[in-house]
Amino acid sequence: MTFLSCLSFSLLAQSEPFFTESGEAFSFKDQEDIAFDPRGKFSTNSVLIVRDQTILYERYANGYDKEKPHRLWSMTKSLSSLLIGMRLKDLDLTPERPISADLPSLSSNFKDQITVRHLLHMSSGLNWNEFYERNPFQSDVIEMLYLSKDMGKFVASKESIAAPGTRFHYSSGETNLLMDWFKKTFKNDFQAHDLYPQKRLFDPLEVKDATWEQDASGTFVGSSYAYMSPRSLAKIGLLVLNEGKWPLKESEEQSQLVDPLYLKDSFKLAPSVCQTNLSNLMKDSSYGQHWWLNKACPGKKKPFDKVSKDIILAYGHHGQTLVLFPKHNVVAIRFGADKEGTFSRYKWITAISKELNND
Amino acid sequence: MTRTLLALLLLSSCQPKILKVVSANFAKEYCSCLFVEKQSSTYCRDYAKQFISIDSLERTENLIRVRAFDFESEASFISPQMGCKLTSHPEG
Repeated sequence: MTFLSCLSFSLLAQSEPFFTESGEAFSFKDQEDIAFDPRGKFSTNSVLIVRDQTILYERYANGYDKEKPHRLWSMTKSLSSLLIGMRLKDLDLTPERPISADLPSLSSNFKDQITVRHLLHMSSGLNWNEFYERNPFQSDVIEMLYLSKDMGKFVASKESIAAPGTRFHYSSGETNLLMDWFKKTFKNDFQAHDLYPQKRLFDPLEVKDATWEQDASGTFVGSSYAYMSPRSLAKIGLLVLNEGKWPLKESEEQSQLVDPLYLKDSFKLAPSVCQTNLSNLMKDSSYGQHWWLNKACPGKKKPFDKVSKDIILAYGHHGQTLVLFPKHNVVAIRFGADKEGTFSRYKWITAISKELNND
Repeated sequence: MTRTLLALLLLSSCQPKILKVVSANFAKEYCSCLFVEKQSSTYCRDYAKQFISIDSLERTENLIRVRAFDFESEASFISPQMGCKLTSHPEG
């Protein structure tokens, strides 16, 4: 009898879904028209909007569904930031740690000054060309991802063109150098390194569909190669909104998975962003520690002028987008394969914000 | 057609790196699309295609082999947690 009770309790606990459907009428019609363009101009594969554990909107297309993992592309960088924060805490280190202490092979003449924080801020000063299909001929990122067996080593061979901390320059190379640093902190315990994301981040959240690919040298490709379903990514978003504590309910025994001070720092505008004369396309960029932000530099505009400055964002190639709305405790995710670059993040995020504020 | 061939000849003489990327890019992204994202082979072929087409694509149980411009690349599916990895490709 006791055994059967335990069994039925355990089956009940396993089958209880994390997310529940909303009984309220959230149409999100404006965002839907923007995300799922009826003329098929761009390819949105899924949109998920949740408030806490309640699904407000969910739709899939092009063969994707709620179970299938989707590539995050550069949204992986924000997951990498979480891992770096967790590892720093494990080792009782600060982001001011010079990476040369663990990665002695840097070519840069500033190698002893480049810190974990500089890499998190995309401000190492290392020379880098971040182009994809539009200009593959001079692309360091393409060479790193497809022709290099050791991505960290490839980035470490780059020379400096600015002093660390003085120039913001978005670079997938900086993330993979960070992930090489992350690997080196495990010395030769490759198993502990390989299992770290699953054990420390995904398992506590009961995320079972996450994949994180490595390069041929065994370094996690933190710039680009994580995959998960929208519902799993939404859990990551909720963890961040909950200041790194899990589970979400205070009535349950919570663990502090990510240091709240590290997270707070992650959402401060990197000083180098405001010091850098950015090109027109990037002129209103707002970036923290591997998270995009909506905070304005003095004399400049917020990237999303009609949306709260508190939102936190992750972007990926082909229009992958994650938006956290802290005031509403809402996570919005858009996955796609928008090769033509026609999907408008500005319109989509502005529409969601407007609809949330009309609640 | 002639213009495309001329452009490719020019590319191969000035930018051999870009030609090496074609097979590696296709193999890696096709592998991840098929085995990690669990999409159909038709969808994945369309997803992985680039502005230059490939010469051949072979699929065995966990391995994708792609040939383009005399360069060959292989991507292997390692596990659900580790996904795909380029196991053989031209170096830069």
